[in-house]
Amino acid sequence: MPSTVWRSLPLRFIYLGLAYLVISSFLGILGLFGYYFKPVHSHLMLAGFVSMTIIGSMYQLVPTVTGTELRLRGIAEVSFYLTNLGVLMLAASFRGLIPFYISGSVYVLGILAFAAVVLVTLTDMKLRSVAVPFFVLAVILYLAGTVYGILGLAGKVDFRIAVHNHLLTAGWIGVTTFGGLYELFPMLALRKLKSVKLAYFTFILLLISLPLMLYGFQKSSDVFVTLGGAGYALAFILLSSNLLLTLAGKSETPAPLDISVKFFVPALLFGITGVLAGLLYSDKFIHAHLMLVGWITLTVMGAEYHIIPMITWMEKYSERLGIEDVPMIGDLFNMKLAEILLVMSVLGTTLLLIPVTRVAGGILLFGTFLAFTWDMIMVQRR
Amino acid sequence: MEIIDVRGLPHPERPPLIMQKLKEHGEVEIIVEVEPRPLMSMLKQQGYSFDSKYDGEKWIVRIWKD
Repeated sequence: MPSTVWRSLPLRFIYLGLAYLVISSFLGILGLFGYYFKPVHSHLMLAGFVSMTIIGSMYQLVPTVTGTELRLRGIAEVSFYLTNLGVLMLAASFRGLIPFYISGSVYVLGILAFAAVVLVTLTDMKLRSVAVPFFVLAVILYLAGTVYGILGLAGKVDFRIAVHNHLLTAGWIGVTTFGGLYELFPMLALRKLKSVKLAYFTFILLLISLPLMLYGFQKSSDVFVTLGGAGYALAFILLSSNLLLTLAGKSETPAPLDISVKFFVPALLFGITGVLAGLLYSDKFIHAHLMLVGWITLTVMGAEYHIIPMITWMEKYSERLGIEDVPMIGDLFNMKLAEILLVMSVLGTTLLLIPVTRVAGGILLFGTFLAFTWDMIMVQRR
Repeated sequence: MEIIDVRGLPHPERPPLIMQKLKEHGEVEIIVEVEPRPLMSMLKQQGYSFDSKYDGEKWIVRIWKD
């Protein structure tokens, strides 16, 4: 691992996340050919790729947007080892190699360490950010979802897989992405957020709709699931409208649209389709993959086109600027490839949703993720 | 003090330009559409200080070496 990556805790999380993405998407393709890897695929993808990427991004973003510095750095280092060990042990547990209570406990300890770092860092907040309440709620839901999973496996709660799933996907991953988009989208689109008040209103909506939905899943009540799902869908539509109106608003700049924003736009459209599919359509595969591949993965790819080159340039080249020739941030990744990968990821996700083209979509997405990971590795080498 | 209006520049070109001007002049004032918090955070780690204000249309951020 190059020294720049090893020195930067956020980059370490993000690059390991990419390794999980490649492995889990490959297992996903094997699943399409009839091999049973579903729980390993989903946990490497969500507990591995998405969660590690979010943790790394939060370690970078939380101090940045609140004008402070990351606290408890030693604990943050510990969280890196515990969460990653936990992910690998969880995968082993699904193959019957390690008891779940051991792997789950290691993973939860890692999350506790992560939660402590984020929450203590926020006590020193100097600047206000609309993302903060979303991040706090997301961290609480992350802990709740994993602890619920462990208690369920230990037989201590009446375990419902939908509660575990939605605490972690609609909750931890979804709520973080709301907050991250409210911060990153306007910043990278170089425009002022259309409505901050509307952003806070979506937070209240999530705060009401998520418990309703989770209660409905726990008690097998379609009424509560539908009510909660409708609230979540409304929050998502308001988020998307706010961001898309921000983009449509008057620009102070003739600067070309950033590649990250180009990924965010189709991600939001997939997300709107996904929340509506969850409400109106019973196919869980389509709902889950619209949300987790269409919305989340495209958003992550877009965000990484900003985060990885930016951190790398500042760590590696900013001090050498003016002393020797150094590459610019835009030289660190391949823009033409990024544009191609954007098209491939939209096409791959769409094909994945159609039963007759599902395998082709899966293979196209795997190729996209492989090429994306390669380009992100090359950021360190260019 | 050097004043740089970075509006109109693509996002990835901004930090290198600002860093270059900071090294040349020690202090710069940048005019930008949105507050560049990531850059400010990273500059803080390199020993720079800054203050920023929004004038209702654009952000004006002054950065200097301590």
